[in-house]
Amino acid sequence: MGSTREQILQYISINPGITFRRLVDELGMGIGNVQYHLHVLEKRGLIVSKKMGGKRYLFPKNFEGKYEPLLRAISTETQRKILLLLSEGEKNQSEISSTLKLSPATINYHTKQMEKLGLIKRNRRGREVIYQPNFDIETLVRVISEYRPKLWDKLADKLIDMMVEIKGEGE
Amino acid sequence: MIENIGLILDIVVIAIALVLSLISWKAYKKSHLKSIFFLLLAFLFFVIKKVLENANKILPNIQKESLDFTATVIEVCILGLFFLAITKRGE
Repeated sequence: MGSTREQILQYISINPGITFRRLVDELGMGIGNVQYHLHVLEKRGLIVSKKMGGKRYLFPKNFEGKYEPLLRAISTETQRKILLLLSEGEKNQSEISSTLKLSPATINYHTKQMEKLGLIKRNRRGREVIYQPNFDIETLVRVISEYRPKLWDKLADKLIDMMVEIKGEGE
Repeated sequence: MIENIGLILDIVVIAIALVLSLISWKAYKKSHLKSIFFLLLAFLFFVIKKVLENANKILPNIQKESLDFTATVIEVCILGLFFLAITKRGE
């Protein structure tokens, strides 16, 4: 493998979830050059890439199967906020609810969704339900810091929260 | 004059209903919540209803009575869908 390609692969392995644009900037290489090597690396199955919000996120092969649930959760505003909150440490439902100023039903709905995706763990301690992160925090922060939701996504997120709130059951 | 303003308002209503349909579609794709799917259908039916109400302006041959009847049926469907969106449980 050429040294440039190896360098790119190594950089992605150290920084899973890096965007194409940031990779180009940080490696100081030409866009076309990086694009070519990424194409080869992806074709050989050494990396995986996913487009979201107009950006291309790059992951090493060992992230296959893990990155999709993460990106899916990040694309929803409330789930993104909960993940960021949990990256500071475990929290119970009322802590999440009061910090984000959302109803317990809304929190319940989103935590259930993320539990299904395998991104958080729910533990019972006496009467309390504690949520713990079950993801690589560095990768999460890297991806979230780059993600800029579009207006449509923001409005869709508001509609989801509104419907969950109206029904008050956290479906 | 009033007829023209009415037509412009109807076009605005159709545009708003289409925007709301698009938002609902995005929300449904993200959440797979049935209630949001019902909302999406309700907004789309609203667009169809408004188009039907103005159809005789473009196609004068269509009977106004049958258009009115269809628009009323759609209205009932829209209300039914809003009701389902609020009351239906589960994903």
